[in-house]
Amino acid sequence: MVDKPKKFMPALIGGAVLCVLSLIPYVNYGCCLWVIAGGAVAAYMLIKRSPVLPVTTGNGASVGALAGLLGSLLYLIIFTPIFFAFGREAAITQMQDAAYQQSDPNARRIVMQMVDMVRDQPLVFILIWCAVIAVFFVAFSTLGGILGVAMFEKRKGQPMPPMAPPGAPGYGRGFAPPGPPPSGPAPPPGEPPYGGGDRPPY
Amino acid sequence: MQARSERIAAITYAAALAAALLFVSAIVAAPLLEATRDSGDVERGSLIYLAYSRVCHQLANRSFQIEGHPFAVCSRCTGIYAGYVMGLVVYPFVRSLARTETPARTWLLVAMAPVAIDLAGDFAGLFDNTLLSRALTGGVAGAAGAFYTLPGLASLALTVSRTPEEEYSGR
Repeated sequence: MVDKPKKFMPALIGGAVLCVLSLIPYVNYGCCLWVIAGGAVAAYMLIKRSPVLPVTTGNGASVGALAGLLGSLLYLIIFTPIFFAFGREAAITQMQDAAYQQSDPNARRIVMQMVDMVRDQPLVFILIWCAVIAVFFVAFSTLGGILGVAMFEKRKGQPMPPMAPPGAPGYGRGFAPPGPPPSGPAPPPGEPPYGGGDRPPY
Repeated sequence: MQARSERIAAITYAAALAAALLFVSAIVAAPLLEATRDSGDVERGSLIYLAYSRVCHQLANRSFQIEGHPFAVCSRCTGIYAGYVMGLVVYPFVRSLARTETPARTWLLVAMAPVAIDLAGDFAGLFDNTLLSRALTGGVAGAAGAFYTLPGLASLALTVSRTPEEEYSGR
Protein backbone atom coordinates (compact mmCIF):
# COMPACT_ATOMS: atom_id res chain seq x y z
CA MET A 1 0.00 0.00 0.00
CA VAL A 2 1.28 3.47 -0.91
CA ASP A 3 0.28 6.02 1.68
CA LYS A 4 -0.22 9.62 0.79
CA PRO A 5 2.60 11.57 2.44
CA LYS A 6 1.56 13.22 5.68
CA LYS A 7 1.26 16.97 5.35
CA PHE A 8 1.79 17.94 8.97
CA MET A 9 5.59 17.91 9.14
CA PRO A 10 6.16 19.73 5.82
CA ALA A 11 3.54 22.28 6.88
CA LEU A 12 5.14 22.71 10.30
CA ILE A 13 8.56 23.32 8.78
CA GLY A 14 7.12 25.73 6.20
CA GLY A 15 5.19 27.48 8.96
CA ALA A 16 8.34 27.80 11.07
CA VAL A 17 10.22 29.30 8.11
CA LEU A 18 7.57 31.92 7.38
CA CYS A 19 7.06 32.73 11.06
CA VAL A 20 10.72 33.16 11.97
CA LEU A 21 11.59 35.16 8.85
CA SER A 22 8.58 37.41 9.45
CA LEU A 23 9.69 38.13 13.00
CA ILE A 24 13.37 38.95 12.44
CA PRO A 25 13.89 42.72 12.26
CA TYR A 26 15.11 44.02 8.85
CA VAL A 27 14.74 40.54 7.34
CA ASN A 28 10.98 41.04 7.65
CA TYR A 29 11.29 43.83 5.08
CA GLY A 30 10.91 40.94 2.64
CA CYS A 31 7.21 41.31 3.46
CA CYS A 32 4.87 38.69 2.05
CA LEU A 33 7.78 37.08 0.18
CA TRP A 34 8.67 35.09 3.32
CA VAL A 35 5.12 33.88 3.73
CA ILE A 36 5.03 32.74 0.10
CA ALA A 37 8.47 31.16 0.61
CA GLY A 38 7.16 29.29 3.68
CA GLY A 39 4.33 27.81 1.62
CA ALA A 40 6.77 26.88 -1.13
CA VAL A 41 9.10 25.19 1.39
CA ALA A 42 6.16 23.15 2.70
CA ALA A 43 5.28 22.10 -0.87
CA TYR A 44 8.92 21.20 -1.58
CA MET A 45 9.10 19.04 1.54
CA LEU A 46 5.83 17.34 0.61
CA ILE A 47 7.22 16.54 -2.84
CA LYS A 48 10.38 15.09 -1.30
CA ARG A 49 8.28 12.92 1.00
CA SER A 50 6.18 11.60 -1.87
CA PRO A 51 8.47 9.39 -3.98
CA VAL A 52 5.63 7.58 -5.77
CA LEU A 53 2.61 9.85 -5.97
CA PRO A 54 3.01 13.12 -7.86
CA VAL A 55 1.97 16.09 -5.76
CA THR A 56 -0.86 18.06 -7.34
CA THR A 57 -1.32 21.81 -7.18
CA GLY A 58 -4.32 21.16 -4.92
CA ASN A 59 -2.03 19.27 -2.50
CA GLY A 60 0.36 22.22 -2.67
CA ALA A 61 -2.48 24.61 -1.85
CA SER A 62 -3.63 22.57 1.12
CA VAL A 63 -0.14 22.07 2.57
CA GLY A 64 0.54 25.78 2.02
CA ALA A 65 -2.67 26.73 3.82
CA LEU A 66 -1.76 24.41 6.69
CA ALA A 67 1.73 25.97 6.82
CA GLY A 68 0.12 29.41 7.07
CA LEU A 69 -2.13 28.24 9.88
CA LEU A 70 0.71 26.60 11.80
CA GLY A 71 2.92 29.63 11.12
CA SER A 72 0.23 31.85 12.65
CA LEU A 73 0.10 29.65 15.75
CA LEU A 74 3.89 29.72 16.03
CA TYR A 75 3.77 33.49 15.59
CA LEU A 76 1.29 33.69 18.46
CA ILE A 77 3.47 31.46 20.64
CA ILE A 78 6.68 33.41 19.90
CA PHE A 79 5.16 36.90 19.70
CA THR A 80 3.23 36.73 23.01
CA PRO A 81 6.23 36.43 25.40
CA ILE A 82 8.25 38.91 23.30
CA PHE A 83 5.36 41.36 23.51
CA PHE A 84 5.01 40.96 27.28
CA ALA A 85 8.77 41.12 27.88
CA PHE A 86 9.75 43.99 25.61
CA GLY A 87 6.93 45.27 23.47
CA ARG A 88 4.00 46.08 25.72
CA GLU A 89 5.25 49.26 27.38
CA ALA A 90 6.84 50.43 24.14
CA ALA A 91 3.58 49.84 22.27
CA ILE A 92 1.59 51.74 24.91
CA THR A 93 4.01 54.70 24.81
CA GLN A 94 4.01 54.72 21.00
CA MET A 95 0.22 54.60 20.81
CA GLN A 96 -0.15 57.30 23.46
CA ASP A 97 2.20 59.54 21.46
CA ALA A 98 0.13 58.84 18.38
CA ALA A 99 -3.06 59.67 20.28
CA TYR A 100 -1.68 63.02 21.49
CA GLN A 101 -0.72 63.93 17.94
CA GLN A 102 -4.30 63.49 16.72
CA SER A 103 -6.09 66.77 16.20
CA ASP A 104 -9.34 64.86 15.77
CA PRO A 105 -10.97 64.04 19.13
CA ASN A 106 -12.72 60.96 17.71
CA ALA A 107 -9.49 59.52 16.37
CA ARG A 108 -7.74 60.30 19.66
CA ARG A 109 -10.52 58.52 21.57
CA ILE A 110 -10.19 55.42 19.37
CA VAL A 111 -6.41 55.27 19.77
CA MET A 112 -6.77 55.72 23.53
CA GLN A 113 -9.30 52.88 23.58
CA MET A 114 -6.67 50.71 21.88
CA VAL A 115 -4.12 51.84 24.49
CA ASP A 116 -6.55 50.80 27.22
CA MET A 117 -7.03 47.45 25.54
CA VAL A 118 -3.25 46.87 25.33
CA ARG A 119 -2.92 47.84 29.00
CA ASP A 120 -5.95 46.07 30.44
CA GLN A 121 -6.57 43.20 28.05
CA PRO A 122 -3.27 42.54 26.33
CA LEU A 123 -4.25 38.99 25.42
CA VAL A 124 -7.32 40.22 23.55
CA PHE A 125 -5.13 42.69 21.66
CA ILE A 126 -2.64 39.94 20.79
CA LEU A 127 -5.39 37.58 19.65
CA ILE A 128 -6.95 40.22 17.39
CA TRP A 129 -3.54 41.11 15.96
CA CYS A 130 -2.65 37.47 15.37
CA ALA A 131 -6.06 36.81 13.76
CA VAL A 132 -5.37 39.59 11.23
CA ILE A 133 -1.93 38.12 10.61
CA ALA A 134 -3.37 34.61 10.25
CA VAL A 135 -5.62 35.76 7.39
CA PHE A 136 -2.61 37.09 5.48
CA PHE A 137 -0.41 34.13 6.38
CA VAL A 138 -2.94 31.52 5.23
CA ALA A 139 -3.80 33.37 2.00
CA PHE A 140 -0.22 34.03 0.90
CA SER A 141 1.11 30.69 2.10
CA THR A 142 -1.59 28.88 0.08
CA LEU A 143 -0.41 30.70 -3.02
CA GLY A 144 3.18 29.87 -2.03
CA GLY A 145 2.30 26.17 -1.79
CA ILE A 146 0.84 26.21 -5.29
CA LEU A 147 3.87 28.04 -6.67
CA GLY A 148 6.10 25.53 -4.87
CA VAL A 149 4.46 22.65 -6.72
CA ALA A 150 4.71 24.57 -10.00
CA MET A 151 8.43 25.08 -9.34
CA PHE A 152 9.54 21.77 -7.81
CA GLU A 153 7.17 19.01 -8.95
CA LYS A 154 8.66 17.40 -12.06
CA ARG A 155 6.28 14.42 -12.38
CA LYS A 156 3.33 16.27 -13.87
CA GLY A 157 0.99 14.28 -16.08
CA GLN A 158 1.82 10.88 -14.64
CA PRO A 159 -1.19 8.64 -14.03
CA MET A 160 -2.20 8.21 -10.41
CA PRO A 161 -1.87 4.69 -8.99
CA PRO A 162 -5.21 2.94 -8.39
CA MET A 163 -6.96 3.42 -5.09
CA ALA A 164 -8.61 0.92 -2.84
CA PRO A 165 -12.41 0.91 -2.99
CA PRO A 166 -14.38 2.71 -0.29
CA GLY A 167 -14.52 0.63 2.85
CA ALA A 168 -11.38 -1.36 2.06
CA PRO A 169 -8.59 -1.44 4.66
CA GLY A 170 -6.58 1.73 4.38
CA TYR A 171 -9.27 3.58 2.49
CA GLY A 172 -9.43 7.18 3.52
CA ARG A 173 -5.86 7.12 4.77
CA GLY A 174 -4.07 6.64 1.49
CA PHE A 175 -3.76 4.81 -1.76
CA ALA A 176 -3.68 1.06 -1.97
CA PRO A 177 -3.24 -1.34 -4.88
CA PRO A 178 -6.38 -3.32 -5.61
CA GLY A 179 -6.54 -6.91 -4.44
CA PRO A 180 -6.81 -9.92 -6.77
CA PRO A 181 -9.61 -9.85 -9.33
CA PRO A 182 -12.91 -11.12 -7.89
CA SER A 183 -13.10 -14.14 -10.18
CA GLY A 184 -9.42 -14.98 -10.26
CA PRO A 185 -7.52 -17.36 -8.03
CA ALA A 186 -5.98 -16.09 -4.83
CA PRO A 187 -2.17 -15.72 -5.03
CA PRO A 188 -0.14 -18.45 -3.39
CA PRO A 189 0.98 -17.64 0.13
CA GLY A 190 4.10 -15.52 0.23
CA GLU A 191 3.70 -14.15 -3.30
CA PRO A 192 2.67 -10.61 -4.18
CA PRO A 193 -0.86 -10.21 -5.61
CA TYR A 194 0.35 -9.78 -9.20
CA GLY A 195 2.99 -12.42 -9.25
CA GLY A 196 6.02 -10.61 -10.67
CA GLY A 197 8.12 -9.86 -7.65
CA ASP A 198 10.68 -8.05 -9.78
CA ARG A 199 8.12 -5.71 -11.25
CA PRO A 200 7.69 -2.21 -9.96
CA PRO A 201 4.79 -1.83 -7.53
CA TYR A 202 2.49 -0.42 -10.24
CA MET B 1 -19.53 15.42 -14.08
CA GLN B 2 -17.59 17.65 -16.45
CA ALA B 3 -20.20 20.37 -15.99
CA ARG B 4 -19.89 20.07 -12.21
CA SER B 5 -16.10 20.45 -12.39
CA GLU B 6 -16.48 23.49 -14.60
CA ARG B 7 -19.03 24.98 -12.24
CA ILE B 8 -16.76 24.48 -9.22
CA ALA B 9 -13.83 25.95 -11.15
CA ALA B 10 -15.95 28.96 -12.14
CA ILE B 11 -17.03 29.53 -8.53
CA THR B 12 -13.39 29.29 -7.42
CA TYR B 13 -12.41 31.78 -10.09
CA ALA B 14 -15.15 34.22 -9.05
CA ALA B 15 -14.14 33.94 -5.40
CA ALA B 16 -10.45 34.47 -6.20
CA LEU B 17 -11.24 37.47 -8.40
CA ALA B 18 -13.52 39.01 -5.78
CA ALA B 19 -10.92 38.53 -3.03
CA ALA B 20 -8.13 39.95 -5.18
CA LEU B 21 -10.26 42.96 -6.19
CA LEU B 22 -11.14 43.62 -2.56
CA PHE B 23 -7.48 43.34 -1.57
CA VAL B 24 -6.35 45.78 -4.28
CA SER B 25 -9.24 48.18 -3.65
CA ALA B 26 -8.26 48.50 -0.02
CA ILE B 27 -4.69 49.42 -1.06
CA VAL B 28 -6.04 52.45 -2.93
CA ALA B 29 -8.84 53.10 -0.44
CA ALA B 30 -6.42 53.81 2.42
CA PRO B 31 -4.96 57.04 0.96
CA LEU B 32 -8.35 58.02 -0.50
CA LEU B 33 -9.98 57.73 2.91
CA GLU B 34 -7.17 59.73 4.47
CA ALA B 35 -7.29 62.39 1.77
CA THR B 36 -11.04 62.83 1.89
CA ARG B 37 -11.40 62.51 5.66
CA ASP B 38 -13.19 65.30 7.45
CA SER B 39 -11.89 66.35 10.82
CA GLY B 40 -14.73 64.56 12.62
CA ASP B 41 -14.23 61.24 10.84
CA VAL B 42 -12.59 58.19 12.28
CA GLU B 43 -9.21 57.27 10.75
CA ARG B 44 -10.45 54.29 8.77
CA GLY B 45 -7.42 54.52 6.50
CA SER B 46 -5.14 53.94 9.48
CA LEU B 47 -6.75 50.57 10.14
CA ILE B 48 -6.02 49.53 6.55
CA TYR B 49 -2.40 50.70 6.89
CA LEU B 50 -2.11 48.69 10.10
CA ALA B 51 -3.55 45.56 8.48
CA TYR B 52 -1.27 45.82 5.43
CA SER B 53 1.82 46.50 7.54
CA ARG B 54 2.39 42.73 7.74
CA VAL B 55 2.66 42.31 3.98
CA CYS B 56 4.74 45.35 3.06
CA HIS B 57 7.37 47.69 4.52
CA GLN B 58 5.12 50.65 3.55
CA LEU B 59 8.01 53.09 3.03
CA ALA B 60 6.32 56.30 1.86
CA ASN B 61 9.14 57.27 -0.51
CA ARG B 62 8.74 53.94 -2.32
CA SER B 63 4.97 54.16 -2.59
CA PHE B 64 2.49 55.85 -4.91
CA GLN B 65 0.66 58.65 -3.17
CA ILE B 66 -2.68 60.43 -3.36
CA GLU B 67 -2.53 64.00 -2.07
CA GLY B 68 0.50 63.16 0.04
CA HIS B 69 -0.99 59.97 1.49
CA PRO B 70 0.87 56.80 0.45
CA PHE B 71 -0.87 53.67 -0.82
CA ALA B 72 -1.23 50.92 1.77
CA VAL B 73 1.67 49.03 0.15
CA CYS B 74 4.79 50.05 -1.80
CA SER B 75 4.86 50.50 -5.57
CA ARG B 76 6.30 47.05 -6.27
CA CYS B 77 3.66 45.35 -4.13
CA THR B 78 0.97 47.52 -5.74
CA GLY B 79 2.22 46.37 -9.14
CA ILE B 80 2.26 42.72 -8.09
CA TYR B 81 -1.29 42.78 -6.70
CA ALA B 82 -2.71 44.89 -9.53
CA GLY B 83 -0.96 42.60 -12.03
CA TYR B 84 -2.45 39.60 -10.26
CA VAL B 85 -5.94 41.04 -10.71
CA MET B 86 -5.22 41.76 -14.37
CA GLY B 87 -3.95 38.20 -14.81
CA LEU B 88 -7.15 36.86 -13.27
CA VAL B 89 -9.28 39.05 -15.55
CA VAL B 90 -7.45 37.80 -18.65
CA TYR B 91 -7.25 34.16 -17.51
CA PRO B 92 -10.63 32.80 -18.76
CA PHE B 93 -9.95 34.22 -22.24
CA VAL B 94 -6.62 32.39 -22.45
CA ARG B 95 -7.12 29.16 -20.55
CA SER B 96 -9.94 26.92 -19.40
CA LEU B 97 -10.90 27.54 -15.78
CA ALA B 98 -11.22 23.79 -15.19
CA ARG B 99 -7.54 23.09 -15.96
CA THR B 100 -5.68 22.17 -12.81
CA GLU B 101 -2.15 21.79 -14.17
CA THR B 102 0.11 24.82 -14.14
CA PRO B 103 2.02 26.16 -17.15
CA ALA B 104 5.70 25.26 -17.52
CA ARG B 105 7.80 26.71 -14.73
CA THR B 106 10.10 28.40 -17.25
CA TRP B 107 7.44 31.05 -17.85
CA LEU B 108 7.25 31.82 -14.15
CA LEU B 109 11.00 32.35 -14.04
CA VAL B 110 10.82 34.49 -17.17
CA ALA B 111 8.05 36.59 -15.62
CA MET B 112 10.03 37.08 -12.42
CA ALA B 113 13.23 38.03 -14.24
CA PRO B 114 12.27 41.72 -14.71
CA VAL B 115 11.73 42.12 -10.94
CA ALA B 116 15.09 40.48 -10.27
CA ILE B 117 16.85 42.70 -12.83
CA ASP B 118 15.16 45.84 -11.49
CA LEU B 119 16.09 44.90 -7.93
CA ALA B 120 19.65 43.76 -8.69
CA GLY B 121 20.45 46.68 -10.99
CA ASP B 122 19.44 49.20 -8.35
CA PHE B 123 21.24 47.31 -5.60
CA ALA B 124 24.43 47.10 -7.66
CA GLY B 125 24.25 50.79 -8.54
CA LEU B 126 23.91 50.14 -12.26
CA PHE B 127 20.75 52.24 -12.46
CA ASP B 128 18.16 53.79 -10.20
CA ASN B 129 14.81 52.09 -10.30
CA THR B 130 11.68 54.20 -10.05
CA LEU B 131 8.17 53.83 -8.71
CA LEU B 132 7.01 53.05 -12.23
CA SER B 133 9.74 50.49 -12.96
CA ARG B 134 9.02 48.70 -9.68
CA ALA B 135 5.29 48.69 -10.35
CA LEU B 136 5.60 47.52 -13.96
CA THR B 137 8.08 44.74 -13.25
CA GLY B 138 6.01 43.67 -10.26
CA GLY B 139 2.91 43.73 -12.45
CA VAL B 140 4.43 41.24 -14.89
CA ALA B 141 5.29 38.86 -12.04
CA GLY B 142 1.85 39.29 -10.48
CA ALA B 143 0.02 38.62 -13.75
CA ALA B 144 2.05 35.45 -14.26
CA GLY B 145 1.33 34.46 -10.68
CA ALA B 146 -2.38 34.34 -11.45
CA PHE B 147 -1.77 31.71 -14.14
CA TYR B 148 0.07 29.50 -11.65
CA THR B 149 -2.08 29.92 -8.57
CA LEU B 150 -5.58 29.71 -10.06
CA PRO B 151 -5.12 26.09 -11.29
CA GLY B 152 -4.01 25.19 -7.77
CA LEU B 153 -7.02 26.85 -6.18
CA ALA B 154 -9.30 25.08 -8.67
CA SER B 155 -7.58 21.77 -7.93
CA LEU B 156 -8.01 22.35 -4.19
CA ALA B 157 -11.70 23.20 -4.62
CA LEU B 158 -12.29 20.11 -6.77
CA THR B 159 -10.49 17.90 -4.25
CA VAL B 160 -12.42 19.32 -1.31
CA SER B 161 -15.77 18.97 -3.07
CA ARG B 162 -15.12 15.41 -4.24
CA THR B 163 -16.99 12.55 -2.60
CA PRO B 164 -15.12 9.33 -1.63
CA GLU B 165 -16.88 7.45 -4.46
CA GLU B 166 -15.78 10.05 -7.00
CA GLU B 167 -12.24 9.87 -5.63
CA TYR B 168 -12.27 6.09 -5.98
CA SER B 169 -13.57 6.16 -9.52
CA GLY B 170 -10.84 8.64 -10.45
CA ARG B 171 -13.24 11.27 -11.70
